[in-house]
Amino acid sequence: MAELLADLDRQFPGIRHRMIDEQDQIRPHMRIFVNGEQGFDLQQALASSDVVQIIQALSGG
Amino acid sequence: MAASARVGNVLVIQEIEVAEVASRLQRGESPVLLDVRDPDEHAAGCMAGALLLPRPLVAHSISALVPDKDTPLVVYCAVGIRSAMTAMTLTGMGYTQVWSMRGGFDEWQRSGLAWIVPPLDGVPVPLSAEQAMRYSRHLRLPEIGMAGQAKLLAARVLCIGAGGLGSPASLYLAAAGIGTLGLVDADSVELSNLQRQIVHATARIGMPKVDSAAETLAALNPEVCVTRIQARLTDENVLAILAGYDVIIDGSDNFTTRYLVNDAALRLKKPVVHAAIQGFEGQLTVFAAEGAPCYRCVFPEPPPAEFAPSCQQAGVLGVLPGILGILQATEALKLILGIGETLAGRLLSYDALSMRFTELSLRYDPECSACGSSGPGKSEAPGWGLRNGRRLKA
Repeated sequence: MAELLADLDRQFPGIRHRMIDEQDQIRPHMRIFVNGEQGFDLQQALASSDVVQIIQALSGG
Repeated sequence: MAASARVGNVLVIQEIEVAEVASRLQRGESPVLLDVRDPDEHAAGCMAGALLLPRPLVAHSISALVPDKDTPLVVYCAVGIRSAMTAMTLTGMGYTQVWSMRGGFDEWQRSGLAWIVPPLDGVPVPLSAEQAMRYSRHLRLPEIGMAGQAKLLAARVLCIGAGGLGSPASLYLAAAGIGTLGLVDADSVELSNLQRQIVHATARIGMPKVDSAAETLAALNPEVCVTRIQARLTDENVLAILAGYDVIIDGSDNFTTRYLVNDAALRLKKPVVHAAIQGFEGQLTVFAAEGAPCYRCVFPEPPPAEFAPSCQQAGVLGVLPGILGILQATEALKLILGIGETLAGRLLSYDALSMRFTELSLRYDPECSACGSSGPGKSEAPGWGLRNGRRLKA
């Protein structure tokens, strides 16, 4: 997971900071799901076929 | 005795005397007794065991109620005219054993034969003839029927926000016959709203949104009681406002309100149908008050302002709240009817650009500050709506 986020940050500079705080914790308004299940651990191992979805709290109505 | 029949191209109506019906019932025969009067007439008194099917609904619904066309049918109304016409309709539809009861229920009563006032428990609450026609497509669904429609007519739903999400949600809920629809919105209609807020109109720019929406909803379904609450939800008023409703639809446009609604609904044990939108993306779920994650379980804290632009700043595809708002209305109807499986515990994420709906599994957080084992939602402590001892600032 940590590698995936690092790679994402190379493609979209600054995006990791929007998702992960200085203590390496997922920010409380961001959620990461692996194959539809919520993940909290950046050390979680990912398989090449896993689908990772990143969700941010939205407020618009 | 012959029933109504086709003779060549002529449909013959067969009548049956009330005494003959009574003696057949006494002999243990069990024809279907079809009461084709209006529901209010039926409610005042009917033959024991009669099925209520108001005449305007007969052609629509008879095949669902009586699928076998060789079933003996005794049709009655008040005096025997509507039943005669219904008998003709049924014969024309291929029913082979149809009798119209001569003199109708009035003659039945005059003859001193037994009749009953239909019990309301577990039996559909009568609808007016106009209601039976307006909601006829609901009445045909076995999952709704008269009993379900009566639940909708008695239900109270609160729409928080009469904007992008509230527009389609309130329109469909009003059309469905929700008895009382509360609308909370402090704002007035602006030109820039009309790209998506379809409950309003160009001629009503400047009018309070709750008034504008009430006008549209009344035109669609004058039966619905629309309660207008032109106010912003606050710590002081939220409990009083939410308390009067069965289901809350959260279509608000800011995090402060969303957390406030979550905490108050938990306290009051009211389900919240939540949706939020931005750009081309939407999220939908149901916070069911008990036994499922709440908003704070999913997002313990709102994002900092710089990470969460509003629709005004970030833009939104006009049709997007239409899709999500209609899904909110769907979930609200299911909650009221007690049918199907709601989205409680699941987040539906929608991406309009790829046209993909993704379902994500939500987790109950035992440490949640609102609904966790020691959270304010679980106690009567006056801490709800507060966070770390201070008012929530979203």
